[in-house]
Amino acid sequence: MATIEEVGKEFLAQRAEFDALDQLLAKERRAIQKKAIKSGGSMEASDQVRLKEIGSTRHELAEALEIFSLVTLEKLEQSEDVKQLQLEIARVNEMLKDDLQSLEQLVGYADKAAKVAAGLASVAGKVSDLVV
Amino acid sequence: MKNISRVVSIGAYLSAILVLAGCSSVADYQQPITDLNESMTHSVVTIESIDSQLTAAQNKRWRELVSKDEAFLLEADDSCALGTKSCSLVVIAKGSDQEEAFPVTSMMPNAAKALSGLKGYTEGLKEIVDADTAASIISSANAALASASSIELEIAKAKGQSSTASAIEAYSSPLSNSFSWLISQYIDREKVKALAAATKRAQPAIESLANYYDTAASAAASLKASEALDNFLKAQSRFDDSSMKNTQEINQYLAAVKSYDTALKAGSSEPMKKFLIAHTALNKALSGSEDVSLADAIAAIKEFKKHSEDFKGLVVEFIQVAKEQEAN
Repeated sequence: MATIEEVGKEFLAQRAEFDALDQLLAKERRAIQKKAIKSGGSMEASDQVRLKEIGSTRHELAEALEIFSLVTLEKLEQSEDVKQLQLEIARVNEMLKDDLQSLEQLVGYADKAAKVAAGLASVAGKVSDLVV
Repeated sequence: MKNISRVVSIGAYLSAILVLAGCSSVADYQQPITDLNESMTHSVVTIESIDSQLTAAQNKRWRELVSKDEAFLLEADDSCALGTKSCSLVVIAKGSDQEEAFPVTSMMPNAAKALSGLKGYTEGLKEIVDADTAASIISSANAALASASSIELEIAKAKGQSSTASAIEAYSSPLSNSFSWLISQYIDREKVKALAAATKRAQPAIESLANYYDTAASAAASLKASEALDNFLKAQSRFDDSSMKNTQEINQYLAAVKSYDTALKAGSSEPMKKFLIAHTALNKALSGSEDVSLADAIAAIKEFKKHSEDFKGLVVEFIQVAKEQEAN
């Protein structure tokens, strides 16, 4: 099973091939059209047939790209590291929760110290009243 | 009194050590982390839109295949019978044994869970920087000091020295200030340490997830581009074949060009790449890396924030065009 990185690299390489082929076909179409414009707007029958062929090949190319895109997404979802990612991010989040709890505990200790001091002050007050 | 002076001196000394040991303050990271968290929300919305578009495309593809007898629908195992708890369908492609739930509800459920975790992560970072722990501790410390002062007065009273001024009270303000400063520095350092440890640990997972979403976004853009190319080619062919190229036909061709143009432009965005750059900069700044300053991290986060807003705008525009196309 491929990793996310491998799926990504394969996708880019294949996509570049789709792009190159489509651009080549688009350029050929443009060249045929420009030739026709130069010769007064009329197009030879063989060129008309070729334009249709180009259109049809590009349609097939579009369909192949659609399937390839969906297959790539499936491969990404089935990649060996995607589930590990969830676990690792969950671990980091647990770590952050623990850190926040530690910070909150500091508040708790300070609060307890203040309460102890207040308690002591009250006891000291009572003791001093008794002594006096 | 001597003891109190010593406490104040030790406090100041410890504070100096703490300050020298860690230079950046958590306050410096508050805004960048808030920005990172907000931008993450935009990215989540964007990625959810991409997923729903992809899921719709996948379901459309399954329907087409079913209509051509290239895929088959059947009831899921242990469903749609008395005593079972649900009724649902699965789809199987011709020549395959693999069953998939139909309709598909998400094309990237595993990555969606990881993304939700990542959202929790940026929220967690924000909670750490936002926690007003130091203020709470200082308030408790002040209360303790007030009580200590009262104990001192009561003891003096018991000794018959009722008019003696409290030494703690006299030193209360400098002691409290030093203590506050010391505590703030300590908490600051603890927070920066926590943020640095979390960003360091999360960095590899974020790199992989960014990779995932950049490929997913490119695949989604390719899917949209393929649909738009298909529509564009149909319009082109109609235009080629028409003998009278009137305004209506020219406008129809132009509309297909515009929609293809939008699809091609949306394809250039990478929703998580800027997040990765921003996070890498933040991680390096928190770890005290010499090659990335806090200013660099802030700049990267601002760039990500802008990018995530722009990308969301592009997606919204694309969905709008797609809806208009569907309506036509």
